[in-house]
Parts: sequence; C-alpha cells; structure tokens
Amino acid sequence: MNFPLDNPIYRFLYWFVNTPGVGGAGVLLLVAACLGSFAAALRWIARGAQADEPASYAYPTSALHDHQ
Amino acid sequence: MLQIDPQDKTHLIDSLFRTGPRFWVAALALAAIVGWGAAMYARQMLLGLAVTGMNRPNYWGIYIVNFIFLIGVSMAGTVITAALYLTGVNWRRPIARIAEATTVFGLMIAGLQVIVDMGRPERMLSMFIYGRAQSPLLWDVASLTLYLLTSSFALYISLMPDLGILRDNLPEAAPRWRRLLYTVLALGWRGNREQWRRLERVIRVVSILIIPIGVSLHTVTSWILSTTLQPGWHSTILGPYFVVGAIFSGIALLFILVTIVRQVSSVKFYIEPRHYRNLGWLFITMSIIWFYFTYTEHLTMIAGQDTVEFPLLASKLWGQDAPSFWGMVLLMALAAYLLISPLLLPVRWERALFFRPRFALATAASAGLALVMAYAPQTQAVVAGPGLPDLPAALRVTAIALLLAAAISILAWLRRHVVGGAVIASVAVVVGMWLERWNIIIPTVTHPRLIAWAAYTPTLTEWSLTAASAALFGLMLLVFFKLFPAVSLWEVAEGRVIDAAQAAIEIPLPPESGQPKWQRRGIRKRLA
Amino acid sequence: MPRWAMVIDLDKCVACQGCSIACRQENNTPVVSPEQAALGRAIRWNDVFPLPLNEPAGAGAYPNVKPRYMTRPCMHCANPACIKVCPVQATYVDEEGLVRVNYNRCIGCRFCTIACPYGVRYFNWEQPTWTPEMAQHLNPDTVSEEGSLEGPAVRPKGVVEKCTFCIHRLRKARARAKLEGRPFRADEYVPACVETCTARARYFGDLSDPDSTVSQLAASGRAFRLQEEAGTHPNVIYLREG
Repeated sequence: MNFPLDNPIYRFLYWFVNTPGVGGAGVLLLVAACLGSFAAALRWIARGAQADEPASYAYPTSALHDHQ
Repeated sequence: MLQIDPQDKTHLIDSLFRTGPRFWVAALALAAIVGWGAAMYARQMLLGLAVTGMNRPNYWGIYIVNFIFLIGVSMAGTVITAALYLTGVNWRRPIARIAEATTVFGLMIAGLQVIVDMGRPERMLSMFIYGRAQSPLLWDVASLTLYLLTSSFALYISLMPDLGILRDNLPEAAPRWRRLLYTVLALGWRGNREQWRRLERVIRVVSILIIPIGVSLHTVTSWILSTTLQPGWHSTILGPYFVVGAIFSGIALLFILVTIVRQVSSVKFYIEPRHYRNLGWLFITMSIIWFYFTYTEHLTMIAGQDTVEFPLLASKLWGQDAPSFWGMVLLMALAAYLLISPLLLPVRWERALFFRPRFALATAASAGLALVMAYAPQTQAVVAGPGLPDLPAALRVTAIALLLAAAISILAWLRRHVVGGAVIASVAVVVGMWLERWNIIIPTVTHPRLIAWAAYTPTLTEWSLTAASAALFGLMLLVFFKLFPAVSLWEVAEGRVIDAAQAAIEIPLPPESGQPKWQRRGIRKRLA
Repeated sequence: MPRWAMVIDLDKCVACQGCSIACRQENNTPVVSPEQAALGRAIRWNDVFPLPLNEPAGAGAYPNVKPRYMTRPCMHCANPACIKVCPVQATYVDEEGLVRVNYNRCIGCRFCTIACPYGVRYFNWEQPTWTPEMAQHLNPDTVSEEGSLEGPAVRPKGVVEKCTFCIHRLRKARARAKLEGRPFRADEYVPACVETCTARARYFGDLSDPDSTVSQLAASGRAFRLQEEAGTHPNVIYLREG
C-alpha cells in the first residue's frame, strides 16, 4: 500500500490544512472576495440611476420589466 | 421624489419620528442589562474563567450552548425570506425585514458568545494570523463571517428603495442628522426602471446564494462536535439535525419578534393573522421533522448501547439530565399540540360550553388544586387500607384528567386567536430549543470517557452574560426599527398591487366533458 | 529520530502518587484552593485516580475490597485527536512524537481539552498562584523556541497545559551532550515521574530502538494501551496487573 503522503497532491493538501496562517489567509481571502463583490454590486445598482429615463417608481411591479 | 401611499406614510414613516416614553424606558432597561453584563464580563476577564461554572470535564458550558442557539435562530431569518422570495410567495412581504434584521443581529451576538468563552480574548486575531484550515473552529469562523456579510448585504439592498422613499418623504420636524443618514445610505437611489432591474437581479442572486451559505453555517457548526470522538457527538446525524433545529427555532423567534413589533407599532395594519397561519404550516412541518430527527438519534443510541454512549442516554432519559431532556420534549410536544390540534376541532363544536376559555381556565385551576392537594402533608397522612381509597394517587389521576380536559377545551380559543396560539407555541419552542442545545453539549461533557462523571451548574456570571446577550439583541433591534421601517414599504406596496390585480382576475370553469349513459351507471342521483 | 514512549507496570504501581507530586513540583503546576479543587479545577498533569471511574461501590464491599488505581500522564499519541482541532496550532506534535503546547499561542478556546478522549489536558481557569514556600522554589527551566513558551514556564491564566514528558529535561540533556562533544543517548533523559517512582514501575525510552527497555516491554504479553479503539495510537503502554 502506498503511503498517501508520497503523492504530491496529498502533500499539498497536508500543507494546506496544517500550516498555521494558511487557513487564516483563506478566510481573509473569502471575506475580501465577499466585500469586493458586494461593493461592486452596490456600485452597479447606484450607477443604474444614471440611465436616461425620466420616470422613477417607488416600488416595482412585473410590468416594469416586461416592456424593455 | 418617490411618492407613496399616504396610509403607508402614516403607519410606517411618521412613527419613526415619534419617540415616546415607552421607547426610552425600553432602551434604558435593555441598556442597563447590557451594562450589567459588560461589568460581569470585565470581572471575568480580570479573574479568569474561574468565575463561571465550567471545570474539568465540563470545559464547554452555557456560552457554547448560547452560541449554537443564536446561530440557529439567526439562520432561519434570511433563509426563510430567501426561500419564500424564490418560490414567489407573497405573504412573506411584511415580515421579510424583521426576519433579515433578526438574522444579522443574531449572528453578531452569536460571535460575541465565542469571544466571551475564550480564555485569552486578546489573542483573537491569532485565528487569522495563525489560522489552521484543519480545525473545525476555523471553518465555523469562515462560515459565520460569510453568512453575516451576505445577510447584511441582503438586508441593505432590500432596504435601499425604502431609504430612497424615506429620504424623499421625511416629515418637516425630522432632525438634520436623520436626513443626512438616509441621503447617504440611499446611495442616490432614484428608482428608475434600470435601477429596479439591477436591484431585483442582485436580490435574486443573493437569495439563491444565501440558502446554501445558511445551511452550510449550521452544518459546519455541527461538525465542531461531530468530528470529535466524544460520546453522543460522533454521529453523522448532527449536521442535518442542527439545520432542522435551526430553522425550527428561527421561525419560532420570528413569530415572537413579529408579534412584539406588531403590538408596539402600527404595523398591525400589515401583518395579519393569515401571515401567522401561513407561517404556522411551515412551523408544523419543521416540528414533525424535528421529532423525526430526535427519535432517530436516540434510537441508534438505545439500540447500539455502546459503553461510552449508553451512560449518556441513561442520564438523559432518567438520570442527571432527565429534567432538561423531558422538559424539552414536553415543550416541543406542547408547541406541536398548540399548532396542530386547533385545526382538528370541528367548527360546529366551538359553540359548546365545554369550549369556552373560562371553562378551560377553571379546569386547569382545578387540576392545579388537585395536584397541590395530592402532595399536601394532610393527604399523605391518610393511610390507604382495604376499602379506603389511595387518596394521593386518586388526586393525581384527577389532576391529569382535568388537565387533559383543559387542554381540549382551550382548542376553540386557540383556533380563534391564531396570533396568541402561535406566540405561546413559539415561546415553548424557543425555550425547548435552547434546552435542546443544552442537551447536546452538557450530557456529553459531563459524561466523558476517562474522567469521572460530573455535574455542571452555571454561575451568576454565565446567566448575566446570557441575559445581557438577549438584551443587546433586543436593543439592536429596537434602535434599528426606530431608524428604519420594520415593514418593507416597497415590498408591501408591490404586494398590494399584485393582490388587487389577482383579485380582479376571474378564472373560468374548465370545459365540460359529457359522459355516455353507460359510463354513468352506478352513479347515484345527487342527494338534494 | 527517537520516538519517546513510556511503559507503566500496573502490577508494581502502589498508587503512592509520588509521580503526580513530582510532576507538579517539576513543572510549576499552580495550586488551587480547596473550593476550586472540589469544583474539579485541580491541575494534575499526571493524574492518579481510582478505577472504576464512576462506581466506587464496584471496588467491592468490606472485607472483599479490591481497589484499583490508574496513573495517567499524557499519552503523546501518534495520531492525536487534540492537535487536529486547534485553530491556531498552539498544540502540535513534533518529530520526536511529543505532543506540545505553546502557551504563547493558545487562545483558550478549549477545543483540544474537549477533543482529547483521555482527559489529559487541563485549563488555567484563574491566574496561577502558589503557596509562599512553593513560590520561592519554582523550577526556572523553560522551553522557548522562536517565540513559543512551553514546558515548566509559568503560564498566564486562560491557556491550556498538559504533560510534556518533561521536555525541558530533554533539552538540557541534549545541550549537555552537545557541550561535551558526544552524541546524545536516549537513556540520558527521563521525565520527573519516571525518576521519582518509588516502585520503579515506570520506564521511559525510545520506541524506535528495538533494544530499548520500552520496546522490549511493549512486546510483552501483558502490554495494553488505553482506548485503542479510539485510533489515537498512544505512546504510553501499560502492563496489566497479575
């Protein structure tokens, strides 16, 4: 039977789960990706106000999306 | 300038700017409890965790119970609203904002519990600087952070159109800082077609993503326990069990909070008994699923009778942990009974005298009296002999019979008062679910493998911090619902239009298909 | 690399608790008040406790009394349950098979104490204190490598601690061998409990050396390990009584 750590994939996984700091970096990366995508989404929504449409609505209905 | 229905303006906007004495009294009371909790925590930081009731082997106690409980109740809010949004259910609209706010603040308080439990909280950042990916605690940190950020984002984007409405419809007397707050937070919301298109797109994507994130949070929390070797925890069922328990307790807390908001503000106009009835069906379903999981978990323990697990089960069923275990089961059964049985009562029976609430109260009081008499010293002195009745036993049986009668007689009242019944059931479930989290942690830590069994009693510090956490949660919601409307203005306005349009639609009968005479054989004439 | 292991002969052990006391003196274990001890907060890296754990009546009724005692240091498992769950690697297993705790890194989450199936880990619930006499005779040895703090070093409150197989003695023995310019031999170092045992019931050595005492005793017919079904591969081997 081959010892799993002879395999480079398992060696990488062992390093990944065991090394202190790698896990923490992963969490911070996840948080950064989250915040980045949220900021981008908010900016995209805010930019929508600049479209050349005179009418504004307090609430939507499905009719708002049907006539594109 | 975004225009809204003047009724919505009176109910939802004007109330935000009238802070009466009730608000200040509530805020001050909650702040006082939070302050007391902070003082106890400062004392704990100074003296160490010796001020708690934890010891060897009870290394985890009430703080972790609170942590899992709070994560559980938080999970339901955003997941429920997201699931209901995606399935196109309209009655979610008035309760969506309360649910989302519950999730966000509940998660923050849950994170606080872990920090309170740490022996060296100043080394908190070590979790990130030295974080090891193999540890289930780190998975939990990642999942909690992800869910907190995503649900905060979900709350914010569904709040944006309301912020625009608030900015444009402030009363004259509104203070400048509030005007500034809404203007800044609205991010220039205009509400044109393109913006609505974009907003709804983002809401849909977030709703789809938040369901797996929410489910993953509670599964990962369960993996903290199930990846250890400890009896009662090393089980595959813990993951789904936690998720089910979370949704169950979350809906219960939602019922309670929605009722409180409804009672103290004018959102009564928007949240009707039919919302309670509809959410009640989901509640009943989760109750049944919860009973199923609990039974399965304990069945495997009973059947296996593993030497390290069986003492745990024995303790839960008739030992040290029996009060909390049976208390939990009774509360859950009570909640299920309160929700399901009123629906089974035939409507015709409601008129009978037996089903008047006064009768139920009188019967219950008599049952209590009989119980008191059964255990009174005078009754014990009566010796049971031939021909003489066994008085204490007879009184106990009478008490139980009267209690059952009261339970049936209250059904009519429960059926009429959907809100009241739902709230009583919810309180039972919230307490029951907290006990369930207790029953997951404490029996296992008190019955370890190679240490003598011990008992765990929480101290004043731990109870104070529990109360302070609840108070902080309440305070955050109180302030949030003073600054922002508790009911989503744009969603209920949209819902009103949709309901009106659907009411105007007349759905015709399907086309008739005739049947040849030979097929009609055997069909009796319609009874007049 | 040596693989440190301990063999404890339960037939010779008289439960004098000399090992337990020697360990506490050697490793600067804090003392707790009687109230705290009654609460179960006493720290005993090597614990001597009666068996069976939960039924004292099982020891028999007079005159047919058969008390049994177990002495238990940290197992220093080859596949420890505790190191896997530490979120900050405050506890880890080194190349010699010792499971170590770094007091400077520990955040006090107590996950490792919960995960250990043998209950060998202890937590500092309060600031460590000693009686005035003991405070004057603390062991000055510490193990401090690259910012870590291990061994008998005085710990702060809120961190986890446990038996280290007296790693400070290992460091000192290695340093002495290096100073004298000769290779280090595995029998140059024994933990305090092994040195003190009045019945000579404890043996310590290198399990990877087939000629060492521990290797020979581990192959004995009386040898067993605690909770082998847990899959932790402990390095403390017991020799059955009788």
